[in-house]
Amino acid sequence: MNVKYKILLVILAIFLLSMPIISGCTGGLSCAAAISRGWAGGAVSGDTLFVVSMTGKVIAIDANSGKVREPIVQLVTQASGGLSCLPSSCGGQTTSSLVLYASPVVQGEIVYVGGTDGKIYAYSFVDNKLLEDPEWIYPRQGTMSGSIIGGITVDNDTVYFATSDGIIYALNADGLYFEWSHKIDSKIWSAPVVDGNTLYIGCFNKTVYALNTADGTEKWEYKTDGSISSTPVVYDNKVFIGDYDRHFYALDATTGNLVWKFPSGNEVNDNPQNWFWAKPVVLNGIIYAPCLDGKIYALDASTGNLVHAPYVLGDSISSSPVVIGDSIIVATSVASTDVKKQRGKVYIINTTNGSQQELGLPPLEDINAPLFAQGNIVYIHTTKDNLYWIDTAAKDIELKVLLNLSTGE
Amino acid sequence: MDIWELVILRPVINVLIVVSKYLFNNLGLAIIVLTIVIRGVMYPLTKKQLQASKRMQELQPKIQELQKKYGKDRQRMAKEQGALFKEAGVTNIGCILPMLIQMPIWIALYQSIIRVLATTPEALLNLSRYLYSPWSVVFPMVPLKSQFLWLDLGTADKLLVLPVLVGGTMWLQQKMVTPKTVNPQQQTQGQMMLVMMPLLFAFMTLSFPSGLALYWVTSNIISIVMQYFVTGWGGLAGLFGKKKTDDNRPSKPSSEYKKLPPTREIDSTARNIVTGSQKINKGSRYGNSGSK
Repeated sequence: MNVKYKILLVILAIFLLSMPIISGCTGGLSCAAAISRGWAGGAVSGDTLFVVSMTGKVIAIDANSGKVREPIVQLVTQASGGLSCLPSSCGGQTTSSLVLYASPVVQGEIVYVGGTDGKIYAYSFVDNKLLEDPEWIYPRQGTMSGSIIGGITVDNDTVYFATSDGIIYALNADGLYFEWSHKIDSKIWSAPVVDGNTLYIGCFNKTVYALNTADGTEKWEYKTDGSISSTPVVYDNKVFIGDYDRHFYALDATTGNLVWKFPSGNEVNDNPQNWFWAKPVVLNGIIYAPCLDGKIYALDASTGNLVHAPYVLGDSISSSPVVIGDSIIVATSVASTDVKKQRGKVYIINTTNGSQQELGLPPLEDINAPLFAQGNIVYIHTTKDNLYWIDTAAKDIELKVLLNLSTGE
Repeated sequence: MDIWELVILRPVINVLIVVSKYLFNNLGLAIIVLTIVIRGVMYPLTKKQLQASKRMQELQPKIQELQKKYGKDRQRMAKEQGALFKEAGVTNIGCILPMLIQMPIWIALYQSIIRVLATTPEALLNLSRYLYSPWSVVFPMVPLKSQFLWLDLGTADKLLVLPVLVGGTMWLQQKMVTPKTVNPQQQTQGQMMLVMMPLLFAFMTLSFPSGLALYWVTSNIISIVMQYFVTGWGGLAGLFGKKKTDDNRPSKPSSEYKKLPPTREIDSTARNIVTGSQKINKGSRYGNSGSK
């Protein structure tokens, strides 16, 4: 073999061996652009927690003991499991676990789950047991062209959700019958929020929409300067929503007019340095807006002025916080797809005295899923598919449940 | 964020986003333009590498001759080969070094495209870490619109046009650099390489985002153009039904070829080289490579 070929073969070998590095792939064959593992939160109803795992399982857990209530429901999808797309957008025949970003919602005895296959599944929970076969599915036949990323809202016996291909749906909660849909020429990764007879949602086309819940007709729209994946909050007849343009907006819920935006441009310091991604929370007339720059901005709901120096938590805040009493529980993430770099943390912010305290979590786990709580307990679903119970009074981890269970385990 | 991400990847990602903004918010155009610019900036290195490869290729008949003579005596063979390389001013590292220097930039561009495409929530969240805080223009730009021509740059080309283009352009590029050889074993190896690499990349294009495939196609076309201007049609000359000496490109002699040493060994193969060198010195820099 001559030198030329040796060189070529060496280059070829180096190239093939370095393909994972070149393509930025980590974790098997998943590329950085296409990693899709899901990060749904959960819901509490009575003494039962309902969570969906990163392996597509719907799990009911005894909120007192942490014991899993059998059976576990496994959601699957027909997908190629390709490198470049979400399961719903891949053509293929392989069955794989359904990826879930939307937290389950419980209404009476029904648990609603929405997946990246764009479908809504409704499961009955009777006698402390989930029925393995769904009570209803929407659509009953065929497939959806988009994925449910943002979440589901159930209000006044109607299920609302949006799919990534830009369609907002309203279904009858009892039977999942189609009521209306509204098409927007944009991706939607945000969850709809309903207040009274209006649905509010933010979209990737840099617009906040208000729709009539009765028929899906548009009431108003407001153009921002950046895309929106954050879920809005409605409070005091205002819609509060964060944006990729690094501004936080307050809009008049009735007219859609801008009430204020932060930063207004007059501030010298404390300007947000990254996107607003997670859903904000409201406490005592103050909006707490989590930002990917690792800060929580405490803003006066009426004026948009900072009422407190930003709470600096360090890493990105992509998980929606929860309010327990006068405290806000916030989780952080390094926002990296590289598992080895992950190190999520949980903080309790005391809004009365402005103090913040870190609660330890094991290393190599990030938190992107929205937190959920009951009483003094906050539940945290991490990127390692573990569910932690944290007692905010004792400020300690009370329990850990592994969600990566095999069905029947 | 490690040094690689901080020093190389992050700047390229931000530049790609800014370029996209000024190219009508079109990520496809941004990928093409940035690939052309980066390959253009790297042209001097590419040129050196191509010229070194070309000279190495030109020495093949002599090396084969040495193999015939000293094939069994490895020490002598290495010594003679070393002397030949020294005389010709050719080193193995001369072929590889320019490529090694360029590789981090190519890899950075490649990784940037993957990251910027961000088709999933995890990937978009990951991208947020790379954006420059002082560059306010990049924040509202993301997520970038992934539509380009018939393609969704975030997903594979369902029409299969890109896999064909990737495979085709790569084959053309490989064909240009594949040396003609009389050794059947080497010919088989050459044919294998010529077919395997394009097939491998075409296969990968079936499942990789179109944005990456667009980068590959652009990069391959640039390589073909660069190779044409530096080393000529190479292995494609026969394909187009004309001899390499027939092409009517400017015949400015290359200083690199002028440096070709006079041959020490007088035999039939080496004579071709001598003839080639003489032709070059008379003004045709491509004369030697096609003389069979």
